[in-house]
Amino acid sequence: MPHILLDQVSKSFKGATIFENVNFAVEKGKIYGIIGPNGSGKSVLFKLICGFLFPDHGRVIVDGEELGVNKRFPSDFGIIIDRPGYIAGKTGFDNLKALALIRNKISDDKIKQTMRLVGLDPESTQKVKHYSLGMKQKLAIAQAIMEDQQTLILDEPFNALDADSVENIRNLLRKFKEEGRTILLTSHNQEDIDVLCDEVYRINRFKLEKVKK
Amino acid sequence: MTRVVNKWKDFVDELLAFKWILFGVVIYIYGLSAKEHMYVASLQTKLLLNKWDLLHKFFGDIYLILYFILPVFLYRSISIMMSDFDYAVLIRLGSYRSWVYATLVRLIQSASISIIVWGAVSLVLSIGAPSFAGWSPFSRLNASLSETQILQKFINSPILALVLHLALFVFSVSCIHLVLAILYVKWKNKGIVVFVAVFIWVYGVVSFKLLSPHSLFNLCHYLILHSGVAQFSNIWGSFAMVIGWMILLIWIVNRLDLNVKGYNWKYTAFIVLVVLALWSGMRENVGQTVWDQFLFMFIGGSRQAFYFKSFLCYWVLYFGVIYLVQLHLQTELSEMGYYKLVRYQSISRWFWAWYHKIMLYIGLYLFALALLALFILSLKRFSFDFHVSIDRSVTLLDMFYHFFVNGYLQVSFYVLFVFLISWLSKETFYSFVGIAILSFFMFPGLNNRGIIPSGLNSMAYLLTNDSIYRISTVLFLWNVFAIVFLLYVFSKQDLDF
Repeated sequence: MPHILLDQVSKSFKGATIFENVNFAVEKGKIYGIIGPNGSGKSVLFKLICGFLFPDHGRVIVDGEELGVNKRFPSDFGIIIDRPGYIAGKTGFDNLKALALIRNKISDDKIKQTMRLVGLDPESTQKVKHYSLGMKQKLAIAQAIMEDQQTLILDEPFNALDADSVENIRNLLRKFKEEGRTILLTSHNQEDIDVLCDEVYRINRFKLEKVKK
Repeated sequence: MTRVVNKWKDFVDELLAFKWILFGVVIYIYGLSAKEHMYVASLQTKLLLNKWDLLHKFFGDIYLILYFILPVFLYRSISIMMSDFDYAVLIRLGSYRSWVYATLVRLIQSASISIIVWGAVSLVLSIGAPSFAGWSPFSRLNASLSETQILQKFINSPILALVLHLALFVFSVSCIHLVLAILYVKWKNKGIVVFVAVFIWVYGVVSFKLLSPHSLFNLCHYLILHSGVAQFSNIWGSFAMVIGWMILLIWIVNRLDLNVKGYNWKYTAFIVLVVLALWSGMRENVGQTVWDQFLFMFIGGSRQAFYFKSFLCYWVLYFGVIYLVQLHLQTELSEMGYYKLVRYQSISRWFWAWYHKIMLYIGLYLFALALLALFILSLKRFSFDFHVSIDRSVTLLDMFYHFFVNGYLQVSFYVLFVFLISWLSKETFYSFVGIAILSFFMFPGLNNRGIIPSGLNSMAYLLTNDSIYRISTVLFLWNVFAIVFLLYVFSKQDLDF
């Protein structure tokens, strides 16, 4: 049974078709890349997988459960979809802590450790409103991985990162894959896709076409 | 433990924020003038007021609540929603339902802070007034010049009155927040939510200024206890309405995460029609008790008494529900194929499986109808004395027997009748025609012997010489006849879906 399954999924907005009868199966422990031009529906696809949007037709099934029947959002997903709405007047640590408190599964040390992992200083008193774009992106990655989420849905995770940080995050994602986590990502940089992904799909004419095995 | 400490730290930080200090200053300035008015009234009546009069004034002042507190809460409600609606938060909460409740908890935290500030300012303003010692002589005046003069007629303790008032206010604000949060989840559009919030505020002001003080649609009755008490002549009317709304909203919130393709408005429309039918069935000039009005709500028609309005109400209440059953049946029949029948092994078995559910639904419907009628009647000022004053020969036992037993048998027959026509004709339209023809027999002169099973559960039969037990027998026999006929049809007709 696939970890994530899109079964005959169609979605349109105000008459504009985004997807039409899409079938897509995601196996555990692999990295999937989704490519396509701007506005092709990459974010919509991720929102469908996370249950933020319902398909007009068809089903989205995660771990055997159809979203919208007994469960709305899948469990144990770490996501970057749009940039998280940070509390501008708080530090990066305080922002992550506010998110961590929702589930209350991890300690302050774990939050700090994750911040270091992505290249942020947890002891910094700098408020998020003074963060650079790259730092905000690292904070977004940190919130997506800090609770050891087993499935990562990352929309443009490398945006605004410098070369060293890109390499650091790539290594991090490779490590996660080795641990058996599942990752779906989009990137406008073909190199990110080429070096990381086991399978690559392109959104073309409202369908997902496999372009690399 | 850390979580609790953090929550308290956030709470204290929030309490000391500048916005709440400003909030307190506004209340203080308004309170000074309100206090002066209270002292003037006390002097004019030559009756001493005490701290309770002032506290109730500051906490229950309509102008303060409508023009200041309500907008503050509407703003706070929207700002909480906007700051908390984030995919990273949502995926952790697991559902929109959890998100709505999380924002509600934050709003209640804000409400707690505002009440602390409001109370502190009120206590400061009441310095110098005679101390707390029950209701004051001023509040015991048989007038409605102040909040306390209204409340003391219904509540013995001023502190209990204050607690109830604050509880009502928090419930109402919570309901408003739920409405806004539901709209935001549905449309994810800040403009719509802001528009609705402004509409609620304008409606509150307009309903206070333009509607009669005794109008049920005056928003103040549900935000301010003394206003509600004056309207309903009891302390529970406002709570009943607000809690009713809250149950409805919680029901909607619990459905937010379901993948429902297009909301089915026919059920909402039916509920609205039922409420209108029950409401218009009341005859306030005749009958003093709730049970008189209960009888009028379901009076229908008999050969001796027929009113077109009552006939229409009956149509909505009983034939309306048959329409819904018809729709349910249509789905069942269209979904039923040979594969389903093979599993049931016979049509009769399938029919009983379906009819069992319908029998249960009929009982639940009658029960819900009675509860809704009593709820509506409790909002009006009818006496709850246990007798029917318009006809002393009618006992409550007769009334309940006729409503539940004959009502059950009558609705059950309608269902069987509709089923039979649907089964034979395979057309929904013919069922409607059949029901329309059957309902004609409620008109005067067409069912003189009371043997045609149409409208026999009308309460009008309680006011005639007809025996309700004879009606039960007639309806029971019709039900048996319909079932036997159906089983015969099942055994004879080809199956063609």
